[in-house]
Amino acid sequence: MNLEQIHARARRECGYPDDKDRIKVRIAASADNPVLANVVSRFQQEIDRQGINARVIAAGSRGLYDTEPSALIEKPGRPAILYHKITPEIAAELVNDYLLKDDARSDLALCSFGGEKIEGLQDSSEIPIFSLQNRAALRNCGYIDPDNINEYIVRGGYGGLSSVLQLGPEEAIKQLGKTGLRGRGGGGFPTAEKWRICRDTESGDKYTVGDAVDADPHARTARLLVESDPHSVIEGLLIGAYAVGARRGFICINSDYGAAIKRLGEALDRAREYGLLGDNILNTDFSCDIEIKEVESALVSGEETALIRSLENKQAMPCLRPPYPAVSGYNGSPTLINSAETLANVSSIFQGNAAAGTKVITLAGDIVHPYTLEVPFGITLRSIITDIGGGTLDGKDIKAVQFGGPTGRLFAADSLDIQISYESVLEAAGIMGSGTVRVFTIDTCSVETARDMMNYLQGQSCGKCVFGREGIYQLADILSDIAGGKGRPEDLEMIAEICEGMKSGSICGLGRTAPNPVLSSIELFRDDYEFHIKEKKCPKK
Amino acid sequence: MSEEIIKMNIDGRDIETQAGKSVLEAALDTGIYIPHLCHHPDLPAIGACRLCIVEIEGVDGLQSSCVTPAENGMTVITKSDEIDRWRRLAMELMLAGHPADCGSCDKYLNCELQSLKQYLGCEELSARRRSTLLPINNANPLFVHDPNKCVACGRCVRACGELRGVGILYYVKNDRETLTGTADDLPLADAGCRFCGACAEVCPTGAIQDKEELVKGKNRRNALIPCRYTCPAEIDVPRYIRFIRQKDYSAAAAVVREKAPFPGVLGYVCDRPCEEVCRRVEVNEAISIRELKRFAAEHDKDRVWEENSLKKAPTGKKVAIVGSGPSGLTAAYYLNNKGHAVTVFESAPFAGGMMRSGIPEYRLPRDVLDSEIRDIIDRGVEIKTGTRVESVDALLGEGYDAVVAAIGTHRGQKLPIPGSDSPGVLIGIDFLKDINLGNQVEIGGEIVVLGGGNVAFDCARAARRLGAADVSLACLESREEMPATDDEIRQGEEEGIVVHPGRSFSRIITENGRITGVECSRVASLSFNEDKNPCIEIEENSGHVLEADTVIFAIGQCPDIPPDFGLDIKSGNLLEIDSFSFGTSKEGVFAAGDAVNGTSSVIKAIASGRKAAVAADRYLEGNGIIDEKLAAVSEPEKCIGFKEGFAFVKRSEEACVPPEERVKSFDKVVRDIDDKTADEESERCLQCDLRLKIQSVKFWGNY
Repeated sequence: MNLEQIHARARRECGYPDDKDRIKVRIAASADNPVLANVVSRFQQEIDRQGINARVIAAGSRGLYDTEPSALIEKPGRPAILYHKITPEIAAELVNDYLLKDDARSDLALCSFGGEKIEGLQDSSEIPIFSLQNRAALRNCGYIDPDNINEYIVRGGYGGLSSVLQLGPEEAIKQLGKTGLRGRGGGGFPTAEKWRICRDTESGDKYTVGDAVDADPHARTARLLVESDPHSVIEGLLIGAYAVGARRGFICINSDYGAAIKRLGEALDRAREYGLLGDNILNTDFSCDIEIKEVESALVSGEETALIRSLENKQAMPCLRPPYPAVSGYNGSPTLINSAETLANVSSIFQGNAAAGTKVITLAGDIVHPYTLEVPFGITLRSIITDIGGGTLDGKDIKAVQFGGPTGRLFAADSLDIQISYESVLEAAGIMGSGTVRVFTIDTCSVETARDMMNYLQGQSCGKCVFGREGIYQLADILSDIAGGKGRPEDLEMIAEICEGMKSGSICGLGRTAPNPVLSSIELFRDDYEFHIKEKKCPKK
Repeated sequence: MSEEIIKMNIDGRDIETQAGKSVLEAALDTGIYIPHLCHHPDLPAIGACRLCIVEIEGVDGLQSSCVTPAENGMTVITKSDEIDRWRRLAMELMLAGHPADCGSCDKYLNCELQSLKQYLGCEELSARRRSTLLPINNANPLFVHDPNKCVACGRCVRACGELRGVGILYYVKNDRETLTGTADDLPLADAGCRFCGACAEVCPTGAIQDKEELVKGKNRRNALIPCRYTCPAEIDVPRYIRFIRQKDYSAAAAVVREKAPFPGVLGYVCDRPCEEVCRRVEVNEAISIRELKRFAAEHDKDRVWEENSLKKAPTGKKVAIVGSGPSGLTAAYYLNNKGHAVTVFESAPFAGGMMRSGIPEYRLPRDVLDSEIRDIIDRGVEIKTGTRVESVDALLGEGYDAVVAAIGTHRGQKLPIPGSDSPGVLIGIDFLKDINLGNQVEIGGEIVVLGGGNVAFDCARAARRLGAADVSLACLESREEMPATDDEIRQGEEEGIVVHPGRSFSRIITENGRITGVECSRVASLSFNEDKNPCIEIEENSGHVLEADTVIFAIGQCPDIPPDFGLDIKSGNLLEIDSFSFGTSKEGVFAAGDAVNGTSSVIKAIASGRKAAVAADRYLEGNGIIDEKLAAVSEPEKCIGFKEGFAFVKRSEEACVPPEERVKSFDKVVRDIDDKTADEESERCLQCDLRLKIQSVKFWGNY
């Protein structure tokens, strides 16, 4: 089928054009939400019972976890209203009060979206959780039914692939280059340049990999994307495959993301049915198929070369680069690896949306709302934490914020006005990484926290190179000693020496960036460390 | 490796190397030492240890030279304060988790880590030391693992995976320590280990080593390939088994013939000392080396040995060999190859020595022996049967330039006990000769064979085949000490031979001139003095009679030396030779085989014949080199691959004709094996010889 035919079918399946007159109830929640099934069925029951012309859509999570299940009710002629913390009882009430009658029940709602003002309800533009976000990669998350490819298509889905197939690979890469899109997997390498390198490497076989692995244990980016909008990743992967000349793709995903894996599998099946995957995609001579590869949830899975070893069914351990995977990767062939977030951006861009300049981040640690959200570059850490995250639990003062994942640096409470962007983070000697914002309040001990971070990293280190393996081990042991009152005066110097060695001597990013949390912690809280060493106890105790 | 030459400068020296080499390889090849640990010449480089770091002009930071390709015009500095600083830190970090005491480790002075520690000068550690107290694993065959000594260099993982293609070793975490080991900590055999030893070979510390008892005090090459080393003739066992695996049976037979012109004979009767020391025994059971030899010999259709065996130009010298047994014919074959004119004198009507007259047909089919003797004759050796040589001087007088006396041990003995001269008492060796030469033999129905060696069993089993219903065998030695080989004993007992070990014989009882039995006592203890004479202690009141109407003595033989032979004799009535020159008391006369060593095995006789040939050739102004390459010499395949259940494949047991069947005739006892069995059995070989192909790493002092 060509795109027109696909589009026509999708519209039909979604009940267009009659759908315009239908009420839509879009229920957003993670697949593992315990009340989701009951909420959905209660809505459906009540709607059927009352004979209302409405459609219930089980969407994936929106990333605002403590509001879910939430229900976005789109009543024709009215602004969409987002209701939160839905229970089956509330569902029944909403059907009766709002669907049947016209009581918007603002007491149950979070906000409305555009249009006329509703009594007692704020517009989303007045609520920072929404107003401060710019959802490009996450554009469909929590809105569409991820199991229904038609919903994706009627919102422009696979239009990006279609236009790329008409542009041709060279032009596609050129256009992507103009957007300045950088890889969202942590490295920030210009995406078009990576595609260019892969395309230019002569080879019979080429592969493309969608990295949907949340290597950072606090991040939920990949999970959110795959559970809520798998096709945005699939489409992005196909666009990249076409651009570089790959005929086989893999999507790597955490092996413990059971629901996401299932959803992804079904999405791939739907795409195949529609001729969007497999042979002669969209009636062109571009053929490409994608398989799912389950990968261990480990920090080292965030390293491209380690991911490739996993694909080859070997131990997931990074290797030195060059050669870069784009030149020599899976089985020695050029392999294009892009993170799920990058691919979701790619499909968005080629569907005609402007390049967004955003980053998906997850809030973690001592924070009221540990959400996954998408913010524009330029937003400050402070704004993210306070305006979107709702600040710390119990309103405690912030001691430090770790940004970018387990090997990100700490920012002091008075440095939170840093505007998040690749340039500013690099200038501050930090990493963009997974974009996770992890908040520590003043009742945490900086030394113990650093020790815990190194212990975690020690468990995650693959063990191959001396500086990665032994360096992290030493740092963990030294910090344990300092935390336990057994620190020696020369320890801080030793830490600095080892960290310097790790930065240049490690094979992969994990070893090279593992010093960040330690060095920044000592930089910010040197007094704490010296107290522990001299007084042999914690100043807090 | 490409042909292109790269010119670069290392430490101020202009050097050349080939394109494709790393900077480290370029330096080491030129004799410039750069410390390294995770690098190994046979393994892909990974740049993990950071000891080989160097400065490269125009490039920021220090590069691991093992993973940096050498490029034209590169300028490299291998030593500087900065480089030393980071090398030392890397070394300290490795030593932090490693046992502190070098002196108590059995890799002391043979350890790459220790050598590097000395080179870099890391005695005091500023890093935090930790003691790992992991248990040493002795439970695997052949190798012992001490995880405390592992520095996670990863060489064993790469050797197992990338070099050998087996891939059962991984980086594993034991609590916080990173080590190498099998998946799920499975025993090696369960994990699919092929026991090739590559991991032990490349391990730079004492983490993976051979079990001490297997290698201690021995020359490494010999300890690691015990089959080849233990074979008296040094037959290249791993090489011919490899040919069998490749289905090149002719080449396999040729490899055997490089050292012994009797692959078929040995395939039937060799007492296989190699199988006792085969390293596979430690895993489950030895390789059926003899059976495979037999298979190769019988499937040698192409006879590549013949094409490849070069006979030298005639030297004009004449050599006489006295005796056409295995040692004589072996010496004849090799001296003939060297271009000498060889004549073999054999007193019996047929050639073959003990192979013909002593070993019964059911153990060694006639056609096999005949064919291999014919091969020797076809090479140009003249054999004069029915010709007894009375004196070596006569031969020298006839114009022979050298003589090799290989007269074997064909004189049997009787015990000087009462009744030993009665009719019905036979000398075993004569009994066998009569049977083997087709002469008429008279025996009774109740036979007792006295003796515990192979000859005794041959007599007993031959007697059964002649129709004797009741055959027993009695000997001095206890069951465990009986000199006969295990399969002879087993097959003999299957055929109904009753074995009475630990007996001393005092009298042969006769009645009216006919034998009725042998008077015996039980032996309490037995030892041998320096002259190999037995010292027997008898159990009190243990006298009993073994009933018999025929008694066969098979208690030992000595050479039948003609009275005027003219050579010095040593104790045991054996020919005396100088163990160095193999010469006898007479110049130009050499001796070999059982006549020198006493009754032993065919393979020992062959080995002895080889040595005599070397000595005689030297005497005749040849170079004494009799070794030849009869099969293609090629580098064995390094990548041996993973085989499910490799360690558990059982040894192919020699299949025999059922005992009730086989006692009816002198037809051969063993059944032939088929291709599939030969294939599976040769696949069991651990290929111990591959290990010695791995390059050794030079220590810094050798640069």
